[in-house]
Amino acid sequence: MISGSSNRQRQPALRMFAIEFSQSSLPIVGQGEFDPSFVVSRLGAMTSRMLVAGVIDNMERRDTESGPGYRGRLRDSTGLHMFDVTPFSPELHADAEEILARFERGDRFLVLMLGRARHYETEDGGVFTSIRAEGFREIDVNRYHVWLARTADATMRRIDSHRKSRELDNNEASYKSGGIPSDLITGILKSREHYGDIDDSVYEVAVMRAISMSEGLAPPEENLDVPSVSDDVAPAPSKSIENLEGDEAREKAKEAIMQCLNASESPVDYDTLIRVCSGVGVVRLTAEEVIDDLRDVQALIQEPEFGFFEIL
Amino acid sequence: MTDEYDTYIEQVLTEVPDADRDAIRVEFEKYHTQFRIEPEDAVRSIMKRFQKNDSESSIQSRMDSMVTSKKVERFSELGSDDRNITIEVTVVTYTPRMQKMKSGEERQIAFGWIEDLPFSNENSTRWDYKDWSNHSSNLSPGSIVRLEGVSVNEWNGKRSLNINQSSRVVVLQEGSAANIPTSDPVDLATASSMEGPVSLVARVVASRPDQIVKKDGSGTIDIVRGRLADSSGQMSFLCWGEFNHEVGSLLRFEGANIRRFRDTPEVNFSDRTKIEVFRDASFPDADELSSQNRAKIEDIRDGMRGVDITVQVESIETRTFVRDGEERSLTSVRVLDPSGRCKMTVWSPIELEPGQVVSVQEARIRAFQGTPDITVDDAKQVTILDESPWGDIDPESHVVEISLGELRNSGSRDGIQTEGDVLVIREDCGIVLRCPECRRVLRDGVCTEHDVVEGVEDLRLRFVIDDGLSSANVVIGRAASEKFLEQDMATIQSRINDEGSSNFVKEIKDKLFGIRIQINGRAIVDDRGIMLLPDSVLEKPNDPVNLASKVRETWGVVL
Repeated sequence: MISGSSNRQRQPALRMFAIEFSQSSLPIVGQGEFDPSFVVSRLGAMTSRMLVAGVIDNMERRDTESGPGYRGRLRDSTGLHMFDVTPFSPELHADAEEILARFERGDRFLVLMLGRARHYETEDGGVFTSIRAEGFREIDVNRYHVWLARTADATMRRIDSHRKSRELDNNEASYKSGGIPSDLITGILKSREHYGDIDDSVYEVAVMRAISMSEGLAPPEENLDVPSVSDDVAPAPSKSIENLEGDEAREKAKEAIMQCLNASESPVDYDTLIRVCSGVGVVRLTAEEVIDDLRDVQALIQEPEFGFFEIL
Repeated sequence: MTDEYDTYIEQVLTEVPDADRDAIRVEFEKYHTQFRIEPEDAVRSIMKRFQKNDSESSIQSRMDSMVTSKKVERFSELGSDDRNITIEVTVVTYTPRMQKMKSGEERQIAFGWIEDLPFSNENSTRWDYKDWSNHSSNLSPGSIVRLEGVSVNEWNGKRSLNINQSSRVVVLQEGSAANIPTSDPVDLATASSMEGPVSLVARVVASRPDQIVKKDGSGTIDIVRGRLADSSGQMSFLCWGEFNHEVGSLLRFEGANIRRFRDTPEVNFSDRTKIEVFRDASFPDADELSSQNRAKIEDIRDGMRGVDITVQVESIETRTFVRDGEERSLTSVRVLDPSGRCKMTVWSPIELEPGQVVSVQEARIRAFQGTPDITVDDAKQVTILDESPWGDIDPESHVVEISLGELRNSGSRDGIQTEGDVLVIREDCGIVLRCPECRRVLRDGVCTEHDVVEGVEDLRLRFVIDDGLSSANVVIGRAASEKFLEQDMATIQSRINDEGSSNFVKEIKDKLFGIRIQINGRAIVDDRGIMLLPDSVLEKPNDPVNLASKVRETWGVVL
């Protein structure tokens, strides 16, 4: 049966950690006039709209063909979200400008953001996710902890359903009778078709971290390293190396970044480069400077997709 | 070989000497026969095309696929983005519906089933289709047609055919009425979420003859109304014509149609519906089925008939009015049950007291301003019970806590409490002018109903709240807004006069975006989603430590 009206309802804002969203590679583009588009996560979340939070990790003005906009990164306890404030939402620009100004002054603060899930596909078929902001504001630590707890709850609910689904036949009827909530049935079916067997432990670690942060405890020891495309070229950070400083650090960082990019056939994400640098004892701040310098001044590397780098 | 193209081919060859003569000819022929472009108009394009040899092949193949139609016999031969397809099919069903376009205009489209291999003995496959441009006269059920220029649509992994504005439908064989769509029978719960043709197995639990008076005054139509039941639920039916089956019979229906009357699905039988007696000893009997017919307030929907329900009386108000020279009375009763509150309207004199629990038989459900009310035509339908099935409910403190997700799947009702995060604060929050006659909001001093009127100032707030599973529109009236903002309307009015309304909206945005609010009041649920009309709104501060330990408990997370 063709349902006429249900697509016109507003899509709820899924509470989701960066790690779940950024590992998603299954977009579904709506066909009809009112059909929304989704990014399906590995846990089966049909993500159209989302409510995310974290610290502003980067922010910059972007001039596009359609006018001025903003781009930035939002870091939560599990990873990074890329976000855009588009030229088409001028009502957000005043607030974006304020956040940019504070960010440039060196202020670091928490933001709650409502947005639409977007994705980019590269020519070789890679999928990158980002968020088109619909609204945001600064929040205090208490509110951030509330968000962490609710997002942990939503994530756990998806993990639980995905685990249940593995015991069931991969069809709607069996999911329904097996107790999978109706809002997750389609997404989990698609997730299992597209991603196959997944390892959900990384999401569970994300939940545990969030819960202990909400409860005001120190985060557990588990390592949240994400198995990603570029894992083979990213040595794990080694804590034994002393932090270097100044020009020596910058040289080291440049060497490590170029080596890493040379070794990789596909663009490497920002986080990996930062990790590579910290692996050779260069702190994040310096590594960020070096990446910017290599891109903007020396023009040795370029950023074909926002947040992903390759040799120019 | 000389023909009408030769002169033009020479022209191209002068410009592009190393181009292939035959290839140029093919190109001209294609422009001529397929694009309907005369050679003299095509010359420049064709020159360009041969000058750009590099991208030739890819452009060529893309143009080919756009222009050449793909002719197939089976749906299984189609890919998910095939366009311009030609295929012969049997039309199984054709269900028209009005669809609102983004532009706001309504357009008639239609959907239904088609089957491939119409002339073959092989098993055919059934697909959904959508008709976007009113080919109804050529798509009558049972007919065999050739579809030209249709395209494949894939949505959520399911493929269907789109019959577009530019498509052609050629009737190869007229439909015969004997061709009844068959499909596996579904239960009534499934059927109630459908629209269009359906097969059912269900027991008749009520049936009575009725008449429909034609709107143009040209007479009446005899019909039969009644109710079907199975273990999943009940549904009203309407039979256009004779219905010779007694209450209690178990029947199988093929080619029945689900239509919607207001919010309530109803199954329609016509002379094209095949109805036959069905035998199944394990099917629940009529007594068992009708005993589940007791509705709760959360179950009632606009347009229902024959509803049996038990409610507690909260307050009573009786009005008398004169109609046709006769004095009549109308009693409006506020009622509640454990699942919510609503209003009951009794159209004949009745004596009731607050606190009484009454059982109502065969009531109709009508919505007033979006909230369904119980309508009773005759006081005899109401029985006062000696004992309440749920103990005493205190109307003062009676609220039904419900999440947005649960509300989404239930009906409109009053007396609920729900919560969500404020994610959108609409720009039109603040002071509005209302029509003194009908309370509609004026646009530039004009009421859509009463033209130019002296507006009455009012305060309202509009939000969207969301709990991660569902969202709801919230419209907060003056009293609840003043209390929630801790400012009275006069103060807000003067501030808006001084600072402008966008500052006011910005201020509440800064204050409210992302906060969790709890709402007590009325909910209207329809196919657009949930709308909440709160009696009261308050911020619900959350303690992250509590929330986190609740998450651990719920999901058994061990740190």
